[in-house]
Amino acid sequence: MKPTKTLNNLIKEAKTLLLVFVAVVILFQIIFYKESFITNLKTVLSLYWLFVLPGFYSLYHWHNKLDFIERFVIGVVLGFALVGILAYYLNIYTVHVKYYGVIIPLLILVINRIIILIISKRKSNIKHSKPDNLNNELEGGIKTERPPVQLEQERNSSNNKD
Amino acid sequence: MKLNNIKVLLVWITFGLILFGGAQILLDNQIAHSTPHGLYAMDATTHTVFAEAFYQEGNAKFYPSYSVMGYEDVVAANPPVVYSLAASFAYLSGLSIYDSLVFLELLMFVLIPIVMYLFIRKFNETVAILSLPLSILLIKNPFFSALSWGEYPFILGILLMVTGIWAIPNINLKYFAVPFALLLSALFMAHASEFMVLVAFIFVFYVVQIYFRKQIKKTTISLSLTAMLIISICFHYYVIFKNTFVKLQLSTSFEPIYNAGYLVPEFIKDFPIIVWLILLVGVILSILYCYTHLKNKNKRWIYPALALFLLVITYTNLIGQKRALQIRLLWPALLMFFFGLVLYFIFTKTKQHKNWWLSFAVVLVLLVGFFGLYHSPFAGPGLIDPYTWEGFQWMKENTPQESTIIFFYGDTYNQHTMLNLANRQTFLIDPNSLIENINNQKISYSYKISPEVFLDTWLAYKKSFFEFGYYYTEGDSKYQPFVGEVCDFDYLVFNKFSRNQPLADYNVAVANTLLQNGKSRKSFENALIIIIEINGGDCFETN
Repeated sequence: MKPTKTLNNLIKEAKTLLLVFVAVVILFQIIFYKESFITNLKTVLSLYWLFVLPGFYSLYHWHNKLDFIERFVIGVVLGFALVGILAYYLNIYTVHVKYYGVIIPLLILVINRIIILIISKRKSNIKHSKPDNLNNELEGGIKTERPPVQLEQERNSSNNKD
Repeated sequence: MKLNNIKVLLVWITFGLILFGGAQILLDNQIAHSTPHGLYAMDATTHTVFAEAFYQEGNAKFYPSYSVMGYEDVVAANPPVVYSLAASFAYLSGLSIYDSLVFLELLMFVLIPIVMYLFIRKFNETVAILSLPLSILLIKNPFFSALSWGEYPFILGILLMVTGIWAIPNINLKYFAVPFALLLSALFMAHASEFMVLVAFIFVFYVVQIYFRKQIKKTTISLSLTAMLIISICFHYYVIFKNTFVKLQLSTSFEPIYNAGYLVPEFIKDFPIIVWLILLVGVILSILYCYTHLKNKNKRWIYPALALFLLVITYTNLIGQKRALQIRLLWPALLMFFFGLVLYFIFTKTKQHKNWWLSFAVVLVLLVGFFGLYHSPFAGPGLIDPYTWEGFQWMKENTPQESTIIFFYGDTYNQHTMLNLANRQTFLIDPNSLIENINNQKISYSYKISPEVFLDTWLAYKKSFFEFGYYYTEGDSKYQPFVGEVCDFDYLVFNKFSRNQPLADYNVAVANTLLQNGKSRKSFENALIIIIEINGGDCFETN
C-alpha cells in the first residue's frame, strides 16, 4: 500500500470518527439533559482525545481485519489500557498527572503514525524491490523460475563476498 | 434502512438505555456536580480518596499520609489504573475528580455488554443482537451495586477481561500480540483477579489448539511474545503487588464462601423466572454446541466454551474463591451469550426465522420492556450531602495538614472511609459508647475511638526494591480502636440532625458543654454540622 493511500484511508476514517463524535455529543445531550452543552462537549472531546483516538489508531494496522465498530469500541478500551500503563510509568518518574492528558495521547498518536509510515513504506519497498516474477507470485500470478545460468552467477557472487 | 445500520442502531440503543439508566440513578442525569454524587458505600469513598490524592499531589507512589496515620512512605499498592485514568481525565475535561471517577466508571460499566456483543458477534451476528436485552438488567440491583457501591477496579478489570476474551480468537493475526499484551498488562494493573481468570482461559485455549494441531507454532510465538511483554510492563507493579496484597490477603482454605462485603447475586432470586429458565436452556445448548464443535475440531468451539467458562468461574466460591461472588455482579453482561443463543434457537424453529425484522422487533421490545421494568429514579446524591461536603471542604482549606479530627455520630459515618475525604487524619467515635452515655444521661470526654486508617496492605513501606517492611506489624496496637479523650484531638465534628435524633441531640449537648467551658471555639457551622477547635488541655474543665 502506498503512503498516500494510507493517508486517504486515515482521512476517510477521520470523517467517520467525526460523525460518531457528533452522534455521541447528541446522545450525551439527551442522557445528561440537565448538563450544559459546553460541559457535554468538553467531556466528549476529552474522551475522544484521551481514549478514543489513541486506542482507535493503535488498531489501525488491523483495519482490514476489524470493522469500524470493533476498532472504535475495542479502541476505547485499549485507550484505557494505554493511558493506564503509560500513566503508571510517568508516575514513577514523578511527572505531574496534569500533563498526562496532553503527553500520553500525543505520544501514542505520534508513535502510531511512525509505525504506520514505517510499515506502509516497508510494504511499498518490498513491492518495488521484488523482481517481476515474485510480484506475480504475490499477486497470485504464474510462478516463473530463474534460468540455471543466472542462479549459478548469483551463487558465485555470494561466494566471492564471503 | 440497511440491515447493518439497524444492527448498529440496536447497539446504540442498548448503550444509550444502560447509560441513561445508570446516569439517572447515579448522577441525576448530570455530569458535573457541586458535591460528590453516586458514592453509596465505603468502597466508593475509598477509591475517591485515593483518586483525589493522586489528582492533588500529582503522583501516586505513596498513600496520602492522612489515610495511613501520618506515614509519608506507605507504598500505594492499590491497582493504580483507575486512579490515573480518573485524574488524567479530570484535568483534561475540567471535571472535579469525584465526577471524573464516577463518570468514567459508568462508561466502563456500559461498555462491558457492548464488548460482549462484539465477542458474540464473531460466533453469530443474530445471536449477538438477540443477546443485547439481557444487558439492560445491569441497571437493576444487585447488579448495579457493582457501580453504586464502588467496585471500581473490578468494573475496569471485567471490561479489560471481556476485551481480552474478544481478542483471544484474533491472537494469530500478525503483530496482534502487542495490543493483546497491552490489554492484559493493564488488566493486571487494574484488577489482578480478572487477569488470572483470563490467563486460565488462555491456557485452555492453548491446550485445545494443541489438541486440534492447528497453528501451534504461530500461537506459541504469539503467546510467548505476549507473555514477555506482560512481564516487562508489569514487573514493577508485580513486586509491589506481591509484597502487599498477595502476601497479606491471598489465601484460600478451599472452603465454600457464600458471603462477601457486597451484594451477592443468586441466579433464581435476581433474575425473573422466565429469564433464568432461558439462561438455563442456554447453558445446556452451549454445552451441546461446545461438545459438537470440539468433536468436529471446529474453531468456533471457543465461543460457547468461553461463555460457559464465564459462568463456571462465578461458582468457584464453592472452592474458596471469594472473587467469584463479585464477578456475579456482572452476570447480565457475562451471560448474554446464553440468552441470545436460546432466542436464536427459538427463531430458527419458527416459520418466521427468515424475517430478520421480526427478531429485531423482539429485541427492541425486550430492550424497552426491561428498561421500563428496571430503571429507577434518582434517589439522592449518596453518602455525602452538600452540608457534610461543605464541612469537609472547610477542613481541607482551614485546618493545618497535620491536625487530627474526630467525628461524633453521623448517619452515614458507618461508611467510615468517607471521613478521609476531609484530607486529614480522622477518627470516629464508636456509636455504642455514645448510646451508653445517653442511657446513663451523662456527658463525658472519654470514648471508644476508631482511627480511620487504610490497613489492607499493613502499611507496607519499601526497604529496597524487593524488600518491604510493615508499620502495622511494628506497632499494631496503634491502629486498633482505643479508649481515648476527645480533648486530645485538634477538631471535633458534630452532626446536629440525624435519623437517630437522640444521638444528634447528644452531639449538640456535648458541643454546647465544650463551648460553655471556654477552652474551645466554634470554627465552622452550617445547617447540619458544627466543627469545634480544641485549644489544648482539659477541654471539659471550666475556666
